[in-house]
Amino acid sequence: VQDSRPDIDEDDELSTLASLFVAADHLHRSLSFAAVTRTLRDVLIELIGARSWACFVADGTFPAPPERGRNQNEGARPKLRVCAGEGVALDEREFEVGKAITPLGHLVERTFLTGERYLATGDLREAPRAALPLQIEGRTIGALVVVEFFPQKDALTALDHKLFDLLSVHAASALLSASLHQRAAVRHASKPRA
Amino acid sequence: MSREYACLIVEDSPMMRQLLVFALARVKNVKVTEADDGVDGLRKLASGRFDIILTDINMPIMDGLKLVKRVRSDPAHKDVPIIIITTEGAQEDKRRALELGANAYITKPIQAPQVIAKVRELLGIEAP
Repeated sequence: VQDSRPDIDEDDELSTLASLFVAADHLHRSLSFAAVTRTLRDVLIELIGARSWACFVADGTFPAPPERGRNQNEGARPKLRVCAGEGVALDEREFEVGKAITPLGHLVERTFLTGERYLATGDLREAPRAALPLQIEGRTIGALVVVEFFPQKDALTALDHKLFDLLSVHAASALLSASLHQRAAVRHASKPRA
Repeated sequence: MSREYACLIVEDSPMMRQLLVFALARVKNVKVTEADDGVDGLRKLASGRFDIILTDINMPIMDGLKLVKRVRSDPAHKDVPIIIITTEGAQEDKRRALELGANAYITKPIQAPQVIAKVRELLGIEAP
């Protein structure tokens, strides 16, 4: 049988598939919010090479998702807040949609409102470098931002792009599931016993 | 009968450990034992014979540098090859680990072919 894809290196392909499988597997393996954000951190830092990053989620997403279309409702201006991240300044961790004042805030806001991915072109040392919409069933609930990469990282690889695809759709549902579970556990624990 | 090699992976991230286990599953006759941090690594080293150690540097409780130092000062394991796994940019960690007696380093993000090649090289296993 002839190989129909002779240009694809089998080792690289297996390595890529293993990374994608492990990332998705660990994102959905636990209902602990801390474990999910730990996996998110590991994917961004250990697999992609991000030095600083932040996961912004819109108000009302946790513990219950906002109704469809609320993001685009001009009357309701949700706040975007960091629910996990490293290396992001305190004054950039929360802002109202439409009132961002920093380049990071503008990027998060734009990603949240448009649902479009942003990847900076050119020098990877300029911040912020990448923003991904966090989506559940096509609805954007926040944004994941890579503020800086490690200095040695000079280009994004094919695996980085595939991991971005994966995070965009899997991180939001994993975070939401963990948040709902956490909330239910707190409610259950606070119920008076008969 | 071909020889079996015992490999100890010391890494606090469950995700990264699984990725290393997947990579090493492609090296014939390598049996992997996992440890969460340096202390767990020393405990597992004390309970068995290992042919190679792969360790992360940044870990809670006992980091990879301390582990390398402890392994090299232990007569039972002082000659076991050690590969350290570092984050990009951690030049000082790399230098320090090699000074302490690590044999090689791999920089994250981990590429399975690189891990496989380094393990084969240090164990003297020929590529198929």
